[in-house]
Amino acid sequence: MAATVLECRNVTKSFLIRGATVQALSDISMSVSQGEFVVVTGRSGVGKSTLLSILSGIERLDSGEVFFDGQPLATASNQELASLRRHSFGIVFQALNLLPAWTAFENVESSLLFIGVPKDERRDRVMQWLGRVGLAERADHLPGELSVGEQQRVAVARALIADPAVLLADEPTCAVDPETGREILKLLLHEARAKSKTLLLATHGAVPPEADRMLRLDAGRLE
Amino acid sequence: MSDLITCVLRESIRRRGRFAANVFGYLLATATIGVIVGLASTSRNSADAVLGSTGTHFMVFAPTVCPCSQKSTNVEGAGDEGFMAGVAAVNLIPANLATEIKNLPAVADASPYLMARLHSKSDGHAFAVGGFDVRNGLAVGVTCCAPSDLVSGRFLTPSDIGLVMAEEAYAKRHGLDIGDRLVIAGTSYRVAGIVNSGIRPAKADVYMPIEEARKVAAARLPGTDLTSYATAVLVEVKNAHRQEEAFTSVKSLFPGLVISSYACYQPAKQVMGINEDAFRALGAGITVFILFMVMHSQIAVVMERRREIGLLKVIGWSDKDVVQLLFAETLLQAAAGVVIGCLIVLVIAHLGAVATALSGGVIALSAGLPLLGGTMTAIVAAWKAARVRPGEAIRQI
Repeated sequence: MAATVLECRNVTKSFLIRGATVQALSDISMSVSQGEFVVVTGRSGVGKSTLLSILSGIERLDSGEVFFDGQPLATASNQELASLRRHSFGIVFQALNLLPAWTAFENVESSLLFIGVPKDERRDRVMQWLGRVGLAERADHLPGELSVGEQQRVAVARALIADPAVLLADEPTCAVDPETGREILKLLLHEARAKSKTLLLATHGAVPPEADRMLRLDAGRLE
Repeated sequence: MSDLITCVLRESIRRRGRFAANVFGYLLATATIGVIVGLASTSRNSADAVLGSTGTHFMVFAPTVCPCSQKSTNVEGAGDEGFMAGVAAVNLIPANLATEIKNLPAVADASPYLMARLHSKSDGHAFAVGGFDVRNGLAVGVTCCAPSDLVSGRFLTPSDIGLVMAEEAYAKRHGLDIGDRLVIAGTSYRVAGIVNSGIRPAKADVYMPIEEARKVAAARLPGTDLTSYATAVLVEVKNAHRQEEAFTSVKSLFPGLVISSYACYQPAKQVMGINEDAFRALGAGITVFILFMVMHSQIAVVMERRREIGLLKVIGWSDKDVVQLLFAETLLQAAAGVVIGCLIVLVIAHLGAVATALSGGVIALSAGLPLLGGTMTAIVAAWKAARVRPGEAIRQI
């Protein structure tokens, strides 16, 4: 039986928006095993993105516990969480979230900066990944010079280049055309299966048939 | 480090407009400080050069009506002839008091002076003979007479023998001209020059070397050796700021002696103080305003990049990575602006477009204050970047 790589217990998270408290997650308990492909589904606004943010340490939870490889994230420092995201998590966002003043090459390279990867190695790895996503010739182009689909492929390359153990994809195909969406999913799945990576995919659309398990969120609670 | 430099340069080059705007702000601050401080410094220096020497002289003597100090000698004159300092009757004082006074920290120069009131044998009129050290230019020039006071003829020189100068008013009263002869105490002197010394504390009717004046006075007081004596010491202070320090020093050194001075150093000192305060206030006000504007602009730009900063943290950049990037970017803009601003100040001064006093202090101030402001801005920017919460930042549209 595969080890549990991600786990949350009784997680609650709310946001204060214009003076009103919005409950994003209520008493969420779930776990994901290594190499598992789990789809988190539900309508827009039910807390899918929040759940992924909590699991990756981007957001701090209000109450409950979150574990990565048995290590509690709630008490981890910002430095530790950043290191975790740098080395263990590959995150693909719903919004494209590329640095607008950096080229495709530089955006992908940003995941490898300041962690001791030599420049030549960085270059090779970045070009390899840009080649895998079909954008090797567009390496010097800024995000504004790329289509939405191309930008998302750059974001995928950025997420995967550090060889993370866990892939978190928050509606990665919602902003792109169906064909590009299928290519992106195919790439993520291939990477996950080939290297026994854990893949957590949040979507409000159809659940991919390859998914090992589905978790359905409704109003911040797991059904 | 090279990665950091690469990222900093990349941001600067890719966001040229913003980079140029911030650099321009620091350039403007530096150039403005340099030009204004330089101008103000020039103005202040010019004013100080004039005011600093205003009223900075006085005379020291031992009046006969006051208790004599141990250093004075009570020598009576003949009849109503006697020793004077200005209009006061005085006792003799050792001439070497001038050397002691000259060695005081606040004193620029001091010189012995001997003035005697005599009566003319021909018509009995009274006149004052002033004997000064012809070798001394500074103290004598401001308290007695100077070559610039010449109306006609020439000034006395150390090698002159048998020559005197006459005060213009005295010369006119008695019809004296260059080359005319005067008999004083039985000795004939030729008038070499006529001077108008204006209002000076040691003003006399006839001027001669102090050695000659001692002989003249001694001729009136047979048996009296005046070789090492004077009736006053003429003093020039280093500047108006130190006038009172000089007074205090002389009084503590020679209690009982009287100091006679003009009080015009006081308004001069006051004006110098006003100039100094205005200079400081102007420089400080302008500096603070410009720096505030630039710093505010830079910090605002950092806040505009909150989403990018959050994104970097989301993909795994640590607070330290982000902080050093923001800090380096901000400092680079400040440094670039300061360097260019200093060059502009140098060019302006070199071309002489504005008369600026470009001392090392002015350059240091022009560069130092904006750099200090830039460093503070960099710290604030980095601190704000560190406080950005990644989840919050990327949720913003």
